[in-house]
Amino acid sequence: MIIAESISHKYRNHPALRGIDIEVKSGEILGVVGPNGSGKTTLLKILSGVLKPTSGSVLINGLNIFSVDSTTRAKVISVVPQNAQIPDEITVMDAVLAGRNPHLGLFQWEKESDYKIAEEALKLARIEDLSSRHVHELSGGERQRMIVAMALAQDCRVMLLDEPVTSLDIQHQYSVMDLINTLVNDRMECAVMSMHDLTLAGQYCDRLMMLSDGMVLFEGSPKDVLTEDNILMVYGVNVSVISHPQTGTPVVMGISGYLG
Amino acid sequence: MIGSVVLVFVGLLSASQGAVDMPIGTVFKMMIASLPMLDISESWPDSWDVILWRVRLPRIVLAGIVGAALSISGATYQALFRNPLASPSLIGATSGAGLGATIVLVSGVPVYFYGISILPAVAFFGAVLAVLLAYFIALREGRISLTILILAGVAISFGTSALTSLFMIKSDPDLRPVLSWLLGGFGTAQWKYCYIIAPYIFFSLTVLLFYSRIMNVLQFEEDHARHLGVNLERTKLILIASSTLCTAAAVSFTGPIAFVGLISPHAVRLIWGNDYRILVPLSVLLGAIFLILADLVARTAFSPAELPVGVVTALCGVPFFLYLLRQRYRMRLN
Repeated sequence: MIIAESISHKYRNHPALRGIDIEVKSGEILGVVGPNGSGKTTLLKILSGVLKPTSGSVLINGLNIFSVDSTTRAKVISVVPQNAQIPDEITVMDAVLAGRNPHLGLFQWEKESDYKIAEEALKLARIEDLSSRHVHELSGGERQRMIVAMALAQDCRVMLLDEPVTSLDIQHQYSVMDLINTLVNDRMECAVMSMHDLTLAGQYCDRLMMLSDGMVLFEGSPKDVLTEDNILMVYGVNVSVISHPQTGTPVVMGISGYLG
Repeated sequence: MIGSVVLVFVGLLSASQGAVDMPIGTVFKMMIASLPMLDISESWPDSWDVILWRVRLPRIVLAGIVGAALSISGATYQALFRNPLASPSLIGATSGAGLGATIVLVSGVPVYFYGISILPAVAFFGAVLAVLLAYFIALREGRISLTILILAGVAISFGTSALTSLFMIKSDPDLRPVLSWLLGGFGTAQWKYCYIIAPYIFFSLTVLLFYSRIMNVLQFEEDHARHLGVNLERTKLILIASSTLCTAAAVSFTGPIAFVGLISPHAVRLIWGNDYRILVPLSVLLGAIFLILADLVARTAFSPAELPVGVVTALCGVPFFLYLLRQRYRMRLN
């Protein structure tokens, strides 16, 4: 469970977030949407504990994440960063083993059990065949699965994902989202992910939060948040929103040249 | 394991070669004979004992220690800065040491203090001060910017080198000690040097070997490494401090020796891959082996004249390194 209260952050004098409250319950995936520069990445950095907000507090399962060191934090929260740069010359297995770091002391190397956990993570991400490949040999989709497997090897209850499928083709977008969805439902308590694709966000998130200029303008079920009026107001673009014929989730369709 | 055997063999080989050629088997026997529980009859001239124990061995051990120290700091900097060009001299340690040594030599301060040269101590502090200066320039709100640390370090290197040249030109005294220090070499090696620098080097070597697993995690971007549970600022401080200590101790007696710290981690990387758990210990061995061999060539190639060992490391190391790069590149294309 994540409880964040009145989070505000300024870069120099430029406000990036203005008083955001978040509550993510057990079993829930919260989607954060909003235009570029609306504060999604800053918010996730704060929730992950690497950026201390100018004001506000974050409790994850009752733990104040700014009062503990990064090792303790990394046992509770795992993160899939946006556009993660992965060193080219290491193997997939070595990358996933890095996910075991928070569980190892300075004087310890990876034990048999850590290799087991890493192998299991590779299997869950369905890339167990690639474990001895080098990172530069992977396709974009395989790479993203590997980054999810790294976070998975951390064995945490909470996962944060920053635009996990933004640069993937439609097949990999769905397969990676399915993977994330299964993992969060089966092995984790809750997740927060920022998304650019509104339709995809509506399909995979239980609840959405729409940010604009560092503030939460709309929050609720995908159906309530992803409306034509809301999208026009926040993104400044005219769209049509229809209900998906099979799932009933909102489908957002833009029209070329149709700016509001 | 194999690496250690090679190291011992190279040591023996190097001990046997020189102005007086001693068979490698005899050298081995001479060393065994020094062990108290063994009784091996002496079948060699007494002068050989002096050559081996007083002249060659200290020099070989010193070259080994210095090679190990320079290449582990090279490997550490390459891991920390995620930059293949990083070498022990990157953030100012070597040139800081050079400036320290030069100031003492040209200032007219007595170099010998109760019969002990203060030059190494001054070089050591010069190295540490130069890195400290770069460190504090890069420190802001408790965090170190590695980009600023590199830039500041490179700038400080240029500055200190320029000052070194200026002092040398502006002063009159005999410049040979400065020049010979700046060229680097093991010509003056004694056991005493080994005893003095060994504690510093073994201490930082141990610390860095323990950090080799974490160096793997440092290959990810800074925030990603933090997400993976690395206490990044503490790790940076420990790695910078240990490798600076290592480099400062290594160059204090022998002067800067180029290429070892840059090339031996890369040679290991190109052959055995990028896993720092393997790369760090193997770099230590390879650095030691490489520098012992280079020193062997330096003292025997144009005997009795000696070549600066830095010239040998560059002339032998560079073609080998370029060959490895080319091989690796080809493998990657296929």
